[in-house]
Amino acid sequence: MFSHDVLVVGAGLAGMRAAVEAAKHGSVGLLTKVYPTRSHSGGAQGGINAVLNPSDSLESHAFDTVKGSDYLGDQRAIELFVEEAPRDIYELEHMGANFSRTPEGMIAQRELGGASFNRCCFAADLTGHKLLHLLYEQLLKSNVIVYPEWFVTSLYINRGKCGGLTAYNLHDGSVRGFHGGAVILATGGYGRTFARTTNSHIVTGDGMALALRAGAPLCDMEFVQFHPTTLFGTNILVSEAVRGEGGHLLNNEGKRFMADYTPEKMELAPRDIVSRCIQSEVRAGKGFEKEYVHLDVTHFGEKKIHERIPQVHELALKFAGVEISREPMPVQPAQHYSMGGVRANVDGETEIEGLFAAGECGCVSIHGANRLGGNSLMETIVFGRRAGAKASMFVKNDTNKTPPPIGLEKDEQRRLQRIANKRGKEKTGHLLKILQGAMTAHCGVFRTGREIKQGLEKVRELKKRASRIGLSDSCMVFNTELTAFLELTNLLDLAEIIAMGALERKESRGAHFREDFPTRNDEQWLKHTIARRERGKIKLSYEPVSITRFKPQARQY
Amino acid sequence: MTTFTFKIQRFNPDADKAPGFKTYKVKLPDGATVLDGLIKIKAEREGSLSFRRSCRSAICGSCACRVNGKAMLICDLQAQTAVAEGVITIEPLENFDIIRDLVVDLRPFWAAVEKALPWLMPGLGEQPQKEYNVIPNDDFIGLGKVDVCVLCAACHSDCPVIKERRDWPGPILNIKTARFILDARDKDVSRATRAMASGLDKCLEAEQDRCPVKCPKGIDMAKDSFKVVRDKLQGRPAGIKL
Repeated sequence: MFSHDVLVVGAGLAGMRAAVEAAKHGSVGLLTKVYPTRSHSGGAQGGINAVLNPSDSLESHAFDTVKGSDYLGDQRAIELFVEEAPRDIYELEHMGANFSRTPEGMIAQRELGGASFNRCCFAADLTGHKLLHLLYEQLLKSNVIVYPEWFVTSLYINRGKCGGLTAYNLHDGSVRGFHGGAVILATGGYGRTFARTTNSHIVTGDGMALALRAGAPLCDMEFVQFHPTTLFGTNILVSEAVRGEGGHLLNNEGKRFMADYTPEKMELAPRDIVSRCIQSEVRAGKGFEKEYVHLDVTHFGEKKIHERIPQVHELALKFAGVEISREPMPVQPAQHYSMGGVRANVDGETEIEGLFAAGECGCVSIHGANRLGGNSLMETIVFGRRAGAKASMFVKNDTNKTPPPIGLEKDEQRRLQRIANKRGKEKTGHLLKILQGAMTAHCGVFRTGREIKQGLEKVRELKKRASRIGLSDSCMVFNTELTAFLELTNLLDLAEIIAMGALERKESRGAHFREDFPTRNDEQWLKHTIARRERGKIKLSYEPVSITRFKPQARQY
Repeated sequence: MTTFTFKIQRFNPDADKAPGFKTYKVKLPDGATVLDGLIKIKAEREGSLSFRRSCRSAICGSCACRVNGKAMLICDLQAQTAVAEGVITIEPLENFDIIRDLVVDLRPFWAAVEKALPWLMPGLGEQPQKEYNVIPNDDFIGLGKVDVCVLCAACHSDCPVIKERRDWPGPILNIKTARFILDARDKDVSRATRAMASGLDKCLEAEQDRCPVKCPKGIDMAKDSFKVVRDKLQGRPAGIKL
């Protein structure tokens, strides 16, 4: 049994920022199923939003975020977020973040979708990568104990309080218990529920599923962000920065079709809208191969491409065989981000005492029904830091600690061994593929009640089939067949909730677009969806949205 | 669809005394990568095949292996271009102990990263109210070049110096040292001498201009990293054109 004041699960930006903060106050153990620098935060390209320019304003950042969220974002949380963002940017920069600069040597800022000011700080188009490595280096500098390649298998809850967890050590095959006064979940999203996704293979919603099973509610899971521009074929991300820097979306007539939808914002409307526009063009026969449109930067010139979007240049060349200085990229929408997550307040606290959530894994909610580009990296830092601080304080004040019982390790070891020895006809990889196909087909950019219902039935059928999965690998060292099975279980649990929430929400808001209910309905649906598991069944309920300064109005760009 | 023959080095610590090769035939669509091939083999044929992967877009550094003897990322490598004499031969990285199949024990590599003390000195003081002024000059551009490192450890695998002397931390020490030497905000003046004391001289003794290490992210080992460190030692401003 290991013991720390605070345990953090997940070592992306939110997890590492939380760990570094909590380590100022006590002992911290950070568990990750990979090495920290393999985390999906590194995939972020475009940048990180904060008000730095005196001509910009906090109110403007807050309003853009609220409007972007289609008024489902919690305004109290958003106001706090935009207020704290600038100091966090300066802190990151002083830690060593290598942000791109203005010729005068100050942090440069670019425009991203849905923003009314250039407030996105960036490091070329490698912002996530550079921040991830920066935070990893801060982690090395701190006294956080990192447990790399440990897969967390369950949370330990005793009388409504979280007191630790169990984890599988891939390196030696052992299963160990961890006692922690507080546990912070920061495992990111569930992107791999979908066939078409920009997300890494490792993004399997592990923390959300752990929290759900422990009894904590999930919030707004039906709001799935589809990024408008991902490479056709692989769905590798093509940063919004490409459009922020002046890239054009073109249909098969060579027309900048966004002029027909959002003539003022053009390509820089928020992601939900641009995704729908691309899909509509393709549906109307104005795409290519009935699948994609073109994203064109041939007017940039090589210098700008190498300075501002070098990674996109590399990715398009390697994965689509396109030299972007000469030809347009083939792009289509794909799953990118989960607005929903473990319901948490601005300090990361969930409904379960001692259990916290931060970053994409959590739902505070600052993104509501649709996240703006550049707000997620900022969220990981602001709310990672806050969760780390609050968890430390909680541990300090908590006088009634109950460490996990001795038998916990043995029980979990037996459970995992039983899974590894499972015999059955079904295969994990096969069922995963069916699940991903079903979610992309039935819970995508455009949805109808009938389609969602079919998708939900498929997911439930898959859950049954998953119980008949057989595993072939009996060696417990680096048994990735076992972890793949556990990941599939997590994805299935979350897919069911995504579909249930989507089926129930009979309106269109942000990224959730129902063709059978194509308008927003504030009277009935200006509320958060809450999902909990009770006696093995998912129950949905609803919660009001926090509205302070910005009264809901029509969302036009 | 094309059928490819993958020859993969396997090792199960519970059952095998030494690693051995196993061959798999797999059908892949046009443009599929070597990583796609491994994923397909694992999903459909050999559930016990162990390898690391995460982003599949050459930014996370998880999947570095040796393909036909050379260390590289396998997620951005098309299967078609990886065939040598009819097969794609995949082995784990060299200069590390094998944990299982293609998974190696990277601890010496992570220790080398840490040895560079890769953080700004003197570090955070009070809550900063504004950013540092950093003029985007040659140093800033040089820093950008080494900063794309994804810590995949391919350099560690192909380094001829490490093969001879395991006490040399490896090229990553140069890369991380150069990254901070080039950073105008860093006030630590002893990075280059520390790197030297950690065994950089062994690297410099080797025929540096013919360094055989090929970084998957395009970092030029000589120009972008160890010459920056050497120039610092010799009192020349870092980052000048060589």
